[in-house]
Amino acid sequence: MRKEIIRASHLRKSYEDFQVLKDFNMNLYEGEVMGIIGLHDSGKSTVLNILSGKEAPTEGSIFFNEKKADMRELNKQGKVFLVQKNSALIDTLSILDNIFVVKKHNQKKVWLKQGPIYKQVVQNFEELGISISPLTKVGKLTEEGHYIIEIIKAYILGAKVIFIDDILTGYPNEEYIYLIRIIEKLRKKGVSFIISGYQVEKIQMYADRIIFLVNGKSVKVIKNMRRNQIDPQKILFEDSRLNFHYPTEKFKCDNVQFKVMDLHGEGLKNSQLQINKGEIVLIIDILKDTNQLLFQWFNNENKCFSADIYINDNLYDKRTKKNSNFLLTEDFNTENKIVECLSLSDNLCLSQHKKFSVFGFIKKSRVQFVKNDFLKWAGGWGDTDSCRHLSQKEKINMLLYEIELKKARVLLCKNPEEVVDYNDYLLIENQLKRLAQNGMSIGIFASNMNRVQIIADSFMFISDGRIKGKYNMSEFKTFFYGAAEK
Amino acid sequence: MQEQSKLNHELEQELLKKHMDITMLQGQINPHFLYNALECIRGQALIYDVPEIADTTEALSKFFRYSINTKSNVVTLREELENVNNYVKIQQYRFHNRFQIEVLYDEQEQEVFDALIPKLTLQPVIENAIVHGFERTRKNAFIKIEIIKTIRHINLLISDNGIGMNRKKLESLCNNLLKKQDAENLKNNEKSNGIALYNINRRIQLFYGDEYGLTISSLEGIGTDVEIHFPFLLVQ
Repeated sequence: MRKEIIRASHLRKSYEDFQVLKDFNMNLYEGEVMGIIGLHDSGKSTVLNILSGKEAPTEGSIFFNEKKADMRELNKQGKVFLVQKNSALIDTLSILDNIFVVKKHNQKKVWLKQGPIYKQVVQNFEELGISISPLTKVGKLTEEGHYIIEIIKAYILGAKVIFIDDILTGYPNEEYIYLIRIIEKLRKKGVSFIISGYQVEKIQMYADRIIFLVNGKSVKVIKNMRRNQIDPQKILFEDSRLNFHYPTEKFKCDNVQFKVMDLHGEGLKNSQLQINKGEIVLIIDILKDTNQLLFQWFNNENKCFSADIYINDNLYDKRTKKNSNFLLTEDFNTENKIVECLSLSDNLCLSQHKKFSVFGFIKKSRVQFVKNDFLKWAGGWGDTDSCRHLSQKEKINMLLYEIELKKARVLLCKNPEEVVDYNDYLLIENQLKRLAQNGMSIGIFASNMNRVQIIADSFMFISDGRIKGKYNMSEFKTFFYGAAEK
Repeated sequence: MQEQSKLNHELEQELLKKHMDITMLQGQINPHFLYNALECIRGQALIYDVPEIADTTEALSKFFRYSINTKSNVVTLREELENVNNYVKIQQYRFHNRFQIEVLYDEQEQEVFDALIPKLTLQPVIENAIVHGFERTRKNAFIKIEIIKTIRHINLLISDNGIGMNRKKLESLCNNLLKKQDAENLKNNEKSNGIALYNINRRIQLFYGDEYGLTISSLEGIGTDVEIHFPFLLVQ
């Protein structure tokens, strides 16, 4: 007899006017690993957020252990756990302390003996073949180590289902193996997993079944043994509609300010990237996976690639970030970038502390100058100096002003269309145009482009393991139509 | 209000059952005449040593008996599978043994076959798989019925490797399953495969509750899966 641990029935989720999930159905058995495959914006993260109790569905039912359940309650009890890209572990604490803190909170005790918990953790680590000491500080772990510890921590704290949201795409297959071994051991202990991603070849390494999620609907569940019979691209792209606006072609300045040579790594071989001074280049990857990894690499979030980077023909060392004001990366995510308890002027100066401070102090006059300059720049801010309860637009304005202040030569950013809503996007679009006019080289990493293509001077494609281009608009149309029709 | 709701519930059940009966009895055929005629054909087939005809005729006779018998709305899974077996035998004869059907279950869970299920739940799904999945293709058909018993429920997964359906058709079918249809719609859409599935889904929901029923997934060129989810109940 199998134990059905989760059943999702006709789940729907809408945000204001936009319906992310239209009719999602699935079930999961004890000890099973289910993969959910879908493109960017197909609803994968929404599914995991709902099933892990972080969000409620707009409609539909979820059953846990064959009884209707409130997943938020189960999340609080630790029965379900979501592992995301931003690790929830506290870097300054040891692995043991990270577990201990949660246990103490859950048991609502002032005093809790650490000894028995330590013994249990050591025993669990031995069972799972983990060689790291529980006393190791989390900050010393690799990124992959963080995720493994998060999963084990969830297990120790009683999780029956662990959801993993798209964290595995950044790793080469060798690093996967260790993680897969842990998953295999835990599933034998009855823990079930739901893992989302967009790379079938990676998910098929451990999933028993794979759900294809397209436009918010579960289209097909296949048993892993049948995976070779299907063409994931055909399933995922069937609904792609490409609407183009065709602006007039723009004049390019042949003055290379940013150059990446011999770029190779995960999904890429021997590629180049060049952006001229004052140019905006759109770097497109429809499947998003390589693009995302590349952006993260520039942002020092992974080690998936290697290359020689030149700024104005000078070699730039990404690791040491020497002359870090030359290259700036921005994901337009305002979360955790503004310190609410500080004033507006302090927040603005904090981002430029190295530049503005003398022996660790910033003159009052300078602080006032920065504030006034920002208010003039942003326009229509209001009379407050407080950063509490700022609107998204206000946060974006602060972010954009900080970019302006840094006066970097090169800006590499995520496609703002994919991160912010339309009104905030327009703010960013105007600022990007202004920065380019002032000579900044801008590279935008995109997987879809409804509007952002209008400001782009040139286009590059990630396709067949290489970065192809640059293309102007008419060349881009031909190339993109060809690629989409495959 | 509650009484009214209960009455509506019963009326809808009755309507669905009637619709099923009518579909089965189309042409106003006298069942006894039919059984007797089939028995004669079977007898002749045995005399002339044509066992395939004898077997198929027997299967047809059993199929009609089961379908037309109005004694009970609910049968055991064993009986329902037996009916599916008879139906597939007939189709095998028609399509020259192109079909392969497999029933997978945990051998330690024999009691699953005593579970109650609304009558004529499985056969229409198999019929859809054959008619819509395989009729227009030459490839060998494979239909798998997987019976998974959990602590409180049964999940029946009927998978085929037929032509499947495209996204639009799947969406339309799923939307029809979710919408409550009145007698007029049922009559007008008789020829649509969606109506059989709607009927099954709705009967399961009326019998067991709204959280049970059918879900469908399909990929064009790969096949279709129909999952039937209902509680595990035994004959009292």
